[in-house]
Amino acid sequence: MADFIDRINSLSLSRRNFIKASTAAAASLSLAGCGNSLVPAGTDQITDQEEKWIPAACWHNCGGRCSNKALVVDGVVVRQKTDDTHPDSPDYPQQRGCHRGRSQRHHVFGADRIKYPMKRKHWEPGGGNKELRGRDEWVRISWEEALDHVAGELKRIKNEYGNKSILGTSRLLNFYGGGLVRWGSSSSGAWGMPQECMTSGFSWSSNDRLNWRNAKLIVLWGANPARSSLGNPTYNLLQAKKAGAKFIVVDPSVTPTVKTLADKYIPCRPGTDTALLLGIAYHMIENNLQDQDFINRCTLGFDQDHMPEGTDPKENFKDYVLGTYDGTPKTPEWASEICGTDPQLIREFATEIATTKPMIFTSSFAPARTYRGQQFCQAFLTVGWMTGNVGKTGAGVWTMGYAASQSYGGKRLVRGGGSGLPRAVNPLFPDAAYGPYDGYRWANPTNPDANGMAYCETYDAILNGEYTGTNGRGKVPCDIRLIWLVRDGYGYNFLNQSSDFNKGVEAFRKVDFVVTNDIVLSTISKYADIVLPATTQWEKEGKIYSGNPEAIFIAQKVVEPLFETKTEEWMDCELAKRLGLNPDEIYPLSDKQQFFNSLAGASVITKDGENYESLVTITEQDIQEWGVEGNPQEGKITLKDLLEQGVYQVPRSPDDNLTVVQGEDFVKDPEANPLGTKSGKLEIHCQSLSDKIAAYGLTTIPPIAKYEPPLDGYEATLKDWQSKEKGNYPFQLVTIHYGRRSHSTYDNIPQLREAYPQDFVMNTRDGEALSLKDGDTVLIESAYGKCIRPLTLSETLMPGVVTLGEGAWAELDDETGIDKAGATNVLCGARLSGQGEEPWNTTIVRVEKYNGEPLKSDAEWKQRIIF
Amino acid sequence: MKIDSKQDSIAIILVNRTYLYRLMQNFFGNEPTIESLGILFSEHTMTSLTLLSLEDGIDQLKSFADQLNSDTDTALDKVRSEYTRLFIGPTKLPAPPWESVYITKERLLFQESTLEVRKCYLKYSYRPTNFRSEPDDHLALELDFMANLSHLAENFFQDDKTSESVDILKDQKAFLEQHLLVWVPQFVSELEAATCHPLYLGMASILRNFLQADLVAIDEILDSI
Repeated sequence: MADFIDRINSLSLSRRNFIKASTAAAASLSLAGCGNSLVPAGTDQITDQEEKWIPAACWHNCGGRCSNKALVVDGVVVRQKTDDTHPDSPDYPQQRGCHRGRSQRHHVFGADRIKYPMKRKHWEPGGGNKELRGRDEWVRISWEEALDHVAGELKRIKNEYGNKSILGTSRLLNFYGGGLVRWGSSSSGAWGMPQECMTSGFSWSSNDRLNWRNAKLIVLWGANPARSSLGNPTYNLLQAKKAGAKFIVVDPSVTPTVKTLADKYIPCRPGTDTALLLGIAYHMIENNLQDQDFINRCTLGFDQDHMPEGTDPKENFKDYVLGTYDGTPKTPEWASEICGTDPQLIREFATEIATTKPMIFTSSFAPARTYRGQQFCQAFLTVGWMTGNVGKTGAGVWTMGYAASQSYGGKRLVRGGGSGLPRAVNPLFPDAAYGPYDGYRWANPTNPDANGMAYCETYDAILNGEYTGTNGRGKVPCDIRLIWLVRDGYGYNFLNQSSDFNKGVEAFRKVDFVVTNDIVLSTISKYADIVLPATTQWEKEGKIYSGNPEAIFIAQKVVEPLFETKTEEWMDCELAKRLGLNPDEIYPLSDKQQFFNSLAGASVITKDGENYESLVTITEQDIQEWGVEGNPQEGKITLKDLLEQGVYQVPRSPDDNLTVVQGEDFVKDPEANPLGTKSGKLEIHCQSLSDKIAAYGLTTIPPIAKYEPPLDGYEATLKDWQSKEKGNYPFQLVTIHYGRRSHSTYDNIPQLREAYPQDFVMNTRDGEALSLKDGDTVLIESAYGKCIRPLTLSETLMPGVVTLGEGAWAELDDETGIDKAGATNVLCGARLSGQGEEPWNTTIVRVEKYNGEPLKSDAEWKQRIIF
Repeated sequence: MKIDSKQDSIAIILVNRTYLYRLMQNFFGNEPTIESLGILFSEHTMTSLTLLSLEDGIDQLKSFADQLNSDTDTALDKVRSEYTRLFIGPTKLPAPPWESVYITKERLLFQESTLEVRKCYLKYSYRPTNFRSEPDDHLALELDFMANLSHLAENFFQDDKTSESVDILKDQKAFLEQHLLVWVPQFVSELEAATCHPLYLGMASILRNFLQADLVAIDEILDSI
């Protein structure tokens, strides 16, 4: 015992004087600062211990959607759960979430949430010390000050340099004259234009889920749904397997999908899929295995007798494969030298897909995320069509990219209504309303009035003051001063997620002003001048989400906004006032009214599978309780029940009326039921595709599938083709979707960091040849940048191929130029290709043991070092 | 010891701990200002720390006080940046000042432990200023709660309401044992690992020692009255 009492007694202090002095000092402390204090609680704030499950948003961009619920007690989320609204069955599966959705709680309530408006210390209007972006100190500022700065810079730059000096697009900007749009294709790679021109979107959709169970063979090309399409896809595919389908998976790696589903695995080097497909086509033609009747009736361009009008008959696919005019027969042996697949395996594979019917032949987007990736899309569709598996039950040739479409197809069975908010289009880019564009679908970059540049040209445009104009416009001068990213809270983070991070940092350090809003300090916000604290979807009014065609999810507000966070609508309105715009014109409807409208407009398919009817029953009382405008209506479920359930799913059974065989009518009678393509048929020879790609002004492709070695592909790993002697960058990098994250979202979550180490994986024999051991910290270097990572050696990868998960938040050391997080865009160069697709999967690197301090596991990292 | 002088010593300890809790609350809950630093470095604070044998850390405080005297603007600017880096963000906080972060080991805010803290406050009809937006278990809020309770205990004692005073002291002891002392030692270690700033190093050490000393002081008082 310390005997404080005796001790103080011995000091003979005056009780009265000491109390007086203490009280005075305490009082002056209260004056000096009163933050973080308690106040008397009202009687209404006595704690409410009732537990309530609230359907909560699972909003990250994983490509799918699942049910997510939060157990809330007195405003605190104590647990999460997923779909338990009905028993699980293969026909009527629950919409259960994955480990990422179940980490949403960790995302919303992480101690690293951005809590207050923050300003970079050495920024001032005009830029201040721009070099310090990404390594400056931060200052907390008031909302008032933050909004004044943001509006001030926006106004100044617009007035001095014009709207074309603003890079970015948002609802507010669209009302303020617009900005330059970054366009291109990230997720779906090169697929957009080939789908549009060769099929008129026909092969984007597929037979409905239950129909897949009729397939005898299912080919998954470059697809890894067991890792990349979480939710139900792998479960659905397993049902097809149980029903008798054989699975063949083509991939550079023995993926979890190969292990779960495959009967046969076909290895293929990244970026060489076209060669493999041509080898397959050769074997089919050589043995007359193709479905000539289907080819003749439904396609154009296969052989010289079935060419589109006005084209050179010599330009047909068959003669290219046979080498009739170029002298190079595309034999399996020819293909094997490029793609690394054994010629005998190519022949077996070709025979199998040509003779097994019905067959489903599907591809993911990954092989098209390559330089001039269109060639893969052309070859894939062509070879698929050669087998005649189109328009039949249990058969199809499709692109299954997103988690929402993998294993799903047919009609959308239930859908949310519109919010009623009028669309606002960017005045500088026709049809563009929001955010980033997989340009071919929502707005057309080849429109001569479109202002903006390909994703991969953004940084060069900032640094060099010009970009490639589409449609033969040549180089367009530009003077980009402001990077604008006050966007919805979905985590769009292009500095981290677009090619060539190092060049990106250089470009960011050039402009006058970078503003973002964010929920955590993602990479792009780290390099910003002002970061505005944003609410997550859990702190906002509700919203209907959809993923696969069978269900919708009704997310609702879970908790009040944390700290000083605000919605982007609020930010837009506050900024609008400072810019002389009318907020009511930008947002004529409240968040609540928008949510209500989407519920009232929700519709569900009728039993006969032909029509749609209102989903929700709404009473006059509901409308009054919500305080919104609307009309009572009859539906299939009451508003109260729907909100409580949080998910509405249409039950399926094999004998229902919801089956769809994609393209059945077309295949039966192509003349009577033409497609929307130029010829009305599936176009193996597609001049319009060739013309469209040329209009982007980046690279060109011929009208039929031909293999041309891509930039930074397999061929570039070799110093000498004949001897196969390796060159400076001997390994091909595949950037995979990684379990820790959904793209870059969630990279900060401790439990996910612990579960997924962001390891760099290479073939064991390759590693041993370099004297590398499992667990070594390795330096991975490309012509564009370098990073360090822990190494895993594995026989699951083809020799010469390495992988690293995309989306890690770059941690660039400015001194050494080394990123220690393993952000793949440090390694992937910004190369201009096709329709602006990011050619991530054609990237070449070298690997060596890192001589510096070995990396600690990511889970043990404490903080982002910025000083 | 005479009864009177013992009573006086208890009264002094009671008022002193109110002051120290208030001082800690102010320090960990606000960006430093010239005024608040002036009070921190005052003669009274030094006396007050000495009464609970909290000399460890005072040297570091003094070293910062010297910096502040010789170049006020630079020193103030630096210490404010450090406060922002340590407790505001936007970079990942090295030692987040919320209890739930250490209780859950998941480094999360607004957890079940936050509700426990909320219940303790509500017994005395307190709630945080930014109720439901900012977590109830911020270090400064927990210290504010202790300061408020200390003040109540002190007043009851002055008014000879010993049993009321004892009840409060018992609640404070429980709050220390079930909350502050459960997580602050780890918080302080993480803070010490994350900063080189003498002021924060000094105050980290003083905070840890103060909470432990206060537990001893409460026991001593409870044994004596």
